[in-house]
Formats: sequence, C-alpha cells, structure tokens
Amino acid sequence: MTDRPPFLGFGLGLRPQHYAEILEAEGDLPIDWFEIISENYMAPGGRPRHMLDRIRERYPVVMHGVSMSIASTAPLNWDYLADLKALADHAQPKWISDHLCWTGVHGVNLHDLLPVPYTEEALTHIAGRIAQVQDYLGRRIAIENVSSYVEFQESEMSEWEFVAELANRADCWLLLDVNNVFVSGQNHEFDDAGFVQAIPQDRVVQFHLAGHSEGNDCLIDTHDQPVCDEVFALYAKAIERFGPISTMIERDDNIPPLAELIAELNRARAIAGRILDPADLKVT
Amino acid sequence: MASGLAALQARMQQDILHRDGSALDAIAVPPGHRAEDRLFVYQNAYVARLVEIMGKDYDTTWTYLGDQLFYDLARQFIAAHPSKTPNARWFSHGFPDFLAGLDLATQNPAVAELCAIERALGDAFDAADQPALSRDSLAQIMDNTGARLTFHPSVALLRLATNSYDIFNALRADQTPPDVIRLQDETWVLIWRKDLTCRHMQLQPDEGAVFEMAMQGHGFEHLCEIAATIGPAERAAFRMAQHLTHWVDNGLITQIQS
Repeated sequence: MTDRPPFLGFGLGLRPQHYAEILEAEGDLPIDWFEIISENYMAPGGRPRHMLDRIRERYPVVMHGVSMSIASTAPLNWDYLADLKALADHAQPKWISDHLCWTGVHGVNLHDLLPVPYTEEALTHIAGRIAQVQDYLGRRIAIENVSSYVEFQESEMSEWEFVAELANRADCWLLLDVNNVFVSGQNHEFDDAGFVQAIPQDRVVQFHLAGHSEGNDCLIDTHDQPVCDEVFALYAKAIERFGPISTMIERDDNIPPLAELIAELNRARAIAGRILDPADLKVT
Repeated sequence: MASGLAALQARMQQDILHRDGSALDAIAVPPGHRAEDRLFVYQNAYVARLVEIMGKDYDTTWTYLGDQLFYDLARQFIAAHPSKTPNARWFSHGFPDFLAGLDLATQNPAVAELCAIERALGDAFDAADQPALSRDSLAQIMDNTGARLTFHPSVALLRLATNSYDIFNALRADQTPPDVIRLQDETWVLIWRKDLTCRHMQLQPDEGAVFEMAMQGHGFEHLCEIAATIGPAERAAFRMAQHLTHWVDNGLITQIQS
C-alpha cells in the first residue's frame, strides 16, 4: 500500500512526569519515538507546547487522540478537527490516530471510549465519517480497537470482521491495541489470537501495549499496570503476523520512573528481535 | 443520520448518565454475566474519571473541603453540568461559579474564591504564549498619555472578599489554614505565567484598582487620574511609575497601543 508510514521502532507515550528525564538525559535514551495525547497539546501555549517542541527536536512523534468520536451519530466536531489539524501542522506527526468508539451524543461528552454494535449500519456510518476526516486532514488516519465491557444484541458480525471491513471501506490505517484485544477477548470470551489473525496485514501501522486491572466482573483497561505476560505473548503472535510494526507502551496512571517503562519496552524489543530478522527492525 | 445506531447511543448515554436501565435490553454479555454489572463499568468510570480530573484541577480546594465534601460537590457539579467539551481539560471550568451559587457559599464564602484561584492558575498554565515587553518600553508608556496596555494572555485579576488567598497559601505550604474572615475591603490577587511557571501575588489596593482599570483598556492618563484619587495626588505619577515597573518586571505587559 502506498504512503505507508515508516517503521519507527519502539516508543513510549509522552507523559509530563518524564519531561525532565527525557530532556536532561545525556545521549539518546533507548526510546525511538513518542506518542502524544493530542488533546493535551491542543492548548494555545505554555509548558505542554514548549515541551513538545523540545522533544520533537530529538524524537519522532505521533499524535493519538481520544475525542474524535468517530463512531458517534452526533455531527463531527469541526472545531475539534480544526484544532487537531492545527496541532498536526505544528507537530508534524508521523501519523494521527484515534479510537473506534463514540464519546457522546446530543452535545454531551462522556469522556469514555464507548463501543459500537457491529452492524452494517454502523460500518457504513463510521466509514463515511473516517473518509470525511481523512479528506479534511489530508492524510489517512489510524483507527484503534478499544477495550469493551459490553457487546450489543444487534451486532451482526464479530469485532474483528467489523474492524477489518471498516479499514478496507474507509481506506484507513489501523492501530492494533494488543492489550485491548486481550481485555475484550477475556470479557467477551473470544479467541484473541484469532482476532489478530483476522486483521488485514497491510493496514496495521502501530501496536499499543498496556496494562489492565481486574474489575468485579471483567478486565478493565486502566493503563495503570505493567504489561502482563499474556499480552506480551499475544504481541509475539502479532509480530509474527504483521512483521515490524511501530510499537509503544501506554501508561496513564500509577506512572513509574522512566527506567521501568524502558525495561518493559526492551522486553517488547526483545520479543520482536527473536521473531524478526534484525534487518527488518532497522528504524527507517 | 444512522437511526438505529443513534437510538442505541442515546439509550446507552442515558443509562450512563442516569443509571436508569435504558440500555439493558440492548446489551449482550457472555453466559453467567449480567448486563447491569458490565454497564456499571461505564457508569462508574464516567463519574470517577471526571471527579479525578476535578481533583487534579482543584486539589487545594479538595484538601480544604476534605474527601467526602469535595466528592459530593464534584458529583453535584457533574450531574448539573454534563461535559460538553471534547477536551476534559476544560469541563470543570464552571466549578467555582457553581460553588458560589450553593448554600455553602453563604456558610463559607472562601470556598468558591479558593476554587477560582485554582481555576485561574489552571488557565494560566497553558494560555497562549506572547513575548513580554522589557523595561525599555517604560518610557514609551509614560510619554504617551493615551497609551493602553495589553497584558499577557495568562493574566487574571481576582477581586476577593475573604481571606481565601491566605487560606490558599497556607494549604499550599501544608500549614493549617486560618479561619475564614470577610475582609473589610476587597483585595486583589494577580495570577499569570512567566517563564512557563504560573505565579500569583496579592496587589496592594491602589495597585489592584489601577491594574483592573488597565485591564479594562483605560489609557495611561486615566490610570494616573485613578491613582490620584486613591492616594496623595502629588505622588500619583511616582506611584504609577512604580506600578508600571512592577508589571513590566513581572512580564505582564505584552503590547502598548496608542
């Protein structure tokens, strides 16, 4: 597929707790790139934008949003998209991603990544909106599968069939969140490896790895724990299927020192190194 | 508009906001599990996430009120003002005004002011960048009687009726806050950002009064007239020069308009 984003290597989510350590490090850290939460840098100025500019000087950056609400039946928020585009013009990310979810309707924002029914109607609706956004931004975006705690009676297909078809219809990239596949697989009792196998190889541009917690009745995508062994095992299967895909670890709460996250990242790097030829892992 | 999808999303949102079972019969869960339990994850996360954000935005107010009262007030705010902004960063902007409208404000008028101080600090944190003028600009202001000042986008001037600023400073220093008192005369607290760091300071009454007029766009000559009505008229020009120097040295002024 043309204009496929480059393999960036192994990255981390950029968090304010690590700004100083990243910028004051002597020499380059073993972190190939950073993912920013777009909304955290959509303010007009101050420390966030300043830090972003300094980190951009040394590392490639990608933008990851939580508020596009691409699956909502509410109208697209063009003010939000204008801010997103302005940030992209400034930050020059390698790509932009958001979630296969909705965050609210009727003017309300629930600030959550809410799942959709896997129906033909939803497919048509969401693919059309992704196309609108891509036209506006002038680039393909990457759409991420979310962790979910419910499914819907009216679903007509599996989540992996839905995701695969959506990527083809919308002609978008995919961000495969391996932890989300695992969490949803546990919660809805499906085969997570089968999910990975069903995703089209030429659409995936990024992997997310993250930790989760055990709720009362299901796993919760909390991003406050280290990546667990089962998720690393599923990541290995994803690497086997997709090859060298830019990989990063998300940690949003209970944030540890940078060294701990680098150690986790090195584990992902080692898994990919065992499966792939070293030449394939050369960062482009 | 995708009508079936729209209806489902409306029902699910209704259930998350009001926990009324609107979406229960649309939910599918594996055998042995209950739709109620799974929906509760979203219902609980909605409130917990927003309370957490408010706790970070208003952490001194939280300390002052204590866990239970802060949580109760945050929940009341969330119920009364569901977020309508795509960026959660802005959703609780109305919290100080919400607190000011409660009976609590009669019992303890410092709470809403304390909260307003924190909101202004939050706003200053990522307000737009603009270069500040240096001392070289002072003569340009004082030689131009009609000069109007433009302040840095982060600047906020709060007029406070209680000792909330003392309470704020005590709590930030991990000290026991003083009892609330209503001030005989209102006081001004200035909040702004300089060199990426948010700052705050109390202004003396005469400086606060002219700063407020300057923010409203009054020209330098008028500011001098105001200063002359507050203190000894013969020292008004001197005091204005002191104020201007203070403002410039703190990076508050970004532009002079004739």
